[in-house]
Amino acid sequence: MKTIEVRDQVSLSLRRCFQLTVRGIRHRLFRSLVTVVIVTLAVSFLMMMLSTSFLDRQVARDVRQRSAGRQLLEDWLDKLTVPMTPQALAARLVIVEPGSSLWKEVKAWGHLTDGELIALKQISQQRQTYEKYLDGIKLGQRSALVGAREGDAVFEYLTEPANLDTFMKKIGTIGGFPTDKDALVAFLKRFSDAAPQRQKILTRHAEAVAGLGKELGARPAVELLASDQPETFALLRRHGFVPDPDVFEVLRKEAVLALDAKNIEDLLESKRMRGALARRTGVSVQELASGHLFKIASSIKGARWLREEVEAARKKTFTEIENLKKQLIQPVALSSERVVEVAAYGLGEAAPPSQAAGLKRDADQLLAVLRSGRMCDMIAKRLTATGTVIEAGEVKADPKHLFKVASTLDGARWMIDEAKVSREETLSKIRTEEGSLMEPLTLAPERIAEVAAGQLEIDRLAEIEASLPQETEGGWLGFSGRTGWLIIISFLVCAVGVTNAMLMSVTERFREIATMKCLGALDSVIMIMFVMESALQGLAGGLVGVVLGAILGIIRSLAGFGLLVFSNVPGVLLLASAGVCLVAGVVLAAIAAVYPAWVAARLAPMEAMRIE
Amino acid sequence: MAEPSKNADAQKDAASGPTAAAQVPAGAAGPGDERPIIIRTINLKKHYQMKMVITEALRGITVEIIRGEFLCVMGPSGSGKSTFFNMVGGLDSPTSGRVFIDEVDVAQLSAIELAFLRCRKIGYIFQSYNLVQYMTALENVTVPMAFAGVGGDEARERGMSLLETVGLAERWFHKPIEMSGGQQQRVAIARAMANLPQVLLCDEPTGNLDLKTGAEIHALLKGLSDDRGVTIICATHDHRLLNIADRIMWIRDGRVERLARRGEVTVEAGTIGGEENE
Repeated sequence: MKTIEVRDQVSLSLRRCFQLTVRGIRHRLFRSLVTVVIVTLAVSFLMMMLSTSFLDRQVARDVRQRSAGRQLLEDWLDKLTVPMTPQALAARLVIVEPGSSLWKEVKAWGHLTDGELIALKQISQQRQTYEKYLDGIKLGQRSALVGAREGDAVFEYLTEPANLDTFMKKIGTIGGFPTDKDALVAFLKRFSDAAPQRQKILTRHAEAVAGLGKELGARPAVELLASDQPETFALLRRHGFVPDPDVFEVLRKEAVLALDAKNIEDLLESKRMRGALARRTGVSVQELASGHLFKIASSIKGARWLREEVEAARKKTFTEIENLKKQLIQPVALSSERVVEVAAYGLGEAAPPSQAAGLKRDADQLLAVLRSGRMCDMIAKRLTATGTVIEAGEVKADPKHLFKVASTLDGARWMIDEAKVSREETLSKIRTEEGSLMEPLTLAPERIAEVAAGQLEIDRLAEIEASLPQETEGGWLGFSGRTGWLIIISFLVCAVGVTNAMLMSVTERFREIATMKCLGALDSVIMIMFVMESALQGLAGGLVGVVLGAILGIIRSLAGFGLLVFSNVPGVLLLASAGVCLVAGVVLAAIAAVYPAWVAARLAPMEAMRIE
Repeated sequence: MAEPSKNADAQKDAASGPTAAAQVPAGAAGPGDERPIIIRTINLKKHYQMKMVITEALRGITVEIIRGEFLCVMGPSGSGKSTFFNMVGGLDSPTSGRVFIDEVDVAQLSAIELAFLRCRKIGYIFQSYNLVQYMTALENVTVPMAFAGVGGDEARERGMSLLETVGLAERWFHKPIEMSGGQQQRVAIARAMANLPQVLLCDEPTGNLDLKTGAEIHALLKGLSDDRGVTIICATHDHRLLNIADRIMWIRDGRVERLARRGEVTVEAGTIGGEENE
């Protein structure tokens, strides 16, 4: 019996397969588009997620850099004025760098060597891992583990062996604990051993803060930081703080900025300014906030206007004070009887010449109360009440009315009292006005604009930072678990779609496949052809999807953070993720086509020999 | 493996009429006929099983097909004609019995060897042409050459000469959709001849064609048989092929009803006497 010797290559080269496939796709373009669109959807979703994630990270880094200066200032102010809580100490210990100001300070406060402080830092870092775990589990689970305890209390609780055992048992069911029991026990021991050290640091720090506060008195710490160096440094060192000259230059600038900004912001306390601002911006007085003020002040024109308004307000206040001073009356230094006498004299009663001069003098004194508008009012009211309808203006014009009221003992007493009240009132009004007198805005318009713009930027950065998603530790590529699942499911769904489309294609092409087989195509050739066809469609879909996804991602980041996005585009990362997405698309399409290709490859050639 | 003596015995039993229960037809190679056998089947049986029902398509066919002859296979639908075709063409495997193509037992072949067989030794022609719609005529013809590992230029040359043989040289760049049925079938024939096969299997080649075109195709096939010595096995209903074929085989109920040489057969049908029109 003879056997066949297989000579020559019976399997098609990949190149020919490729050519055939491309021709086939062109022939079936519309059907191919289905697969392309499906892959585009999956890939663009993945690409959008990736690019958003990278862009967000970049923006976060950028924002943190830009607000570094202000952050440093707030850090220092906090350290100088607020005694540390154990939580705050723990947080600081985790990030303290050897050799930095904080390092030296903590060493001094705790009487620690470098080695001891390093050990302390490690303990704090371990503590942070445990705390992160406890924060990451559900609230119900957390209270089952440690009740309502927070901070140090948690670890103190766990130092009891019985509690620790219960804890570990429950951990077994919840899962995800970062270390094993032995490590936890070792940590707890070190933690409680280091408690005295921590306590010492806290106590000494509190003392330092108190001492500094006492010496500063009413002066706010930020002013201290804004002043020039030698005096500041000396003061800080006296209380155990360690100022670093390089850092402090930055600090000083920031502090000056903060102070100037505060000066501008204080303008909002004046009612007059609020009124002016409301008129200029169209915002109601109640809704007026510092943001509006800074927005106006951030342009030179606005800054100039601000200065003018401040001057105008001050002028108004001075004018008002002048008016009030004019109305201020001296208390009546006469007895009621004397007042009656004087009033009688004023009304025209004759008086002996020896008393005339004295009476005249006292009459003038009495008449002086008419300077007060209130007095005139009150006198007019009293007269009207007794039947004579009189206006305040008439009272002021004609002394007769005053004398009439003062001519009775009762009236005299009343007038003396009223004069006192009027004086008090005017004095208090003067005090109020003086209180509302604003400091002149001595900053130059350029400086005002600079400060205001800077403050606006800081506020905006803070807003952005608040809206950024938290740094996620879990997941891959920085995704949360949920997003990762979404992507996987979307890819699965698309794979099913592609498989479906390819199966339809195979079914349509039964005859063609069978004919190919009759012509000598191997099963593997058929399979390669179909997988390649799908892979090519996946490539096309992937290309479109990558572009689409990148655009969508950029738009989404723009919407969130504005033009900040463009300051630092992570080009390399984006290209890399584009590559990954493209490959993912191709692989998706290829794998989804395996089953249909297998069905096609198994087809018996006699399907083509249908005689019917 | 067939033994000549067994074969001869079987041949003696053969009757020449339709009632023959024997497997071997009369008009076969008689004793002393030394022409080589290209396809040999021995007691070929095939049945399909669908759940509880077993359909016997072939109930034992034994034939010898001589190299270079023009064999016509006829039979009503459901007679097992197509099944027999598939066996002979290496497209299907029998339930029992053997098929030898050029002395090679088809059942022993692996997938690659089968593909080689289909590519080099056998050419196929279908009733519905089965050309690739998005390829030109020349490209269609060169597809089997690609499978045989023949390179671009040589393939094109051979393709063009084949198209010339079938008379379609000037239409080499047309797609199937731009050609008539007869022209498509001619391209199919050229394609089937691409790798110079020894056997040409034709499944109702003129079934979709009108009388005149059909006659052209028949002439073409006959030409191939005479000029190139290709063995042509044709399954057909068209009785005009009886004039061209060397031998005719009738299949009924999965058995060979009759196998006769051309001369031994007379066609009695209502034909119009004299020349056929057109």
